[in-house]
Amino acid sequence: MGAAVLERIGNTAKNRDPTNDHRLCVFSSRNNTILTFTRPSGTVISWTSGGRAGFKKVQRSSYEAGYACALKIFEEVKRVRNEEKIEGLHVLFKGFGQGREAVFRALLTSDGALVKELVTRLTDTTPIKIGGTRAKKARRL
Amino acid sequence: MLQEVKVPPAPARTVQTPAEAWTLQSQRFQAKNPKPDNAYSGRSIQIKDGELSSAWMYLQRILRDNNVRAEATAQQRHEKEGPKRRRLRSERWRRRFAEEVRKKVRLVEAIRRRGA
Repeated sequence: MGAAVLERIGNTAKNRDPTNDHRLCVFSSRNNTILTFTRPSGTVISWTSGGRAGFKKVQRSSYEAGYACALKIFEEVKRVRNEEKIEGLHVLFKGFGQGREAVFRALLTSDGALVKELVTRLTDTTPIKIGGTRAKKARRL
Repeated sequence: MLQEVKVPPAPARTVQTPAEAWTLQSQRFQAKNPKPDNAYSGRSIQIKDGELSSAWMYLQRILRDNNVRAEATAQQRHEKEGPKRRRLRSERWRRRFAEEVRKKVRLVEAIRRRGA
């Protein structure tokens, strides 16, 4: 929401200023899933990926890897929550790999219950070109 | 003979040039609809009362309605003009065919409802 809107409708609990939300960026591609947990300023607190979760090569992009990554990052979120104050958590999804669904489901489990309470916003930030640069040529299998 | 009813004259309208009218409309619209923050504002959902699942479903709906997934996948690889023309021709034909089938089925249903 823009500052102008907040001025009009007031910064109550219902209309909090979203610029102070921590961010959980979920990038899920065909080859891997990487999760990044950042401060409101954008400074990265920690990140994890399929490889860090103990998977190799093609397994890194699997649903299980995504789930394992989610659990790891939840630990970080809980740690930061105990140390500092987290006003809100903005979850951003990029890409449509298997990890995307895995991370969301992880939020609904008991392990992610504490993190789920913090979530205030869901966004999809998959980059969509309008025209744009030419992509690589199609693979002929 | 009809009784003549006295109609009060219509209130004088302020004369606006089309330019003025458009400017006024534009200002009114912008006041009610603030500009989006960034390109992803339309795919951003505020979560109310911890309702994560319904927010997720709403997000999925937005993505589906705007073909985000399909576009993202299509943009990964360049499609040359030949294959593109072939694909478009095939899609258009299938769309037309499906519409014809739909019309026939609707006709049959209508006849059946009439009781023929």
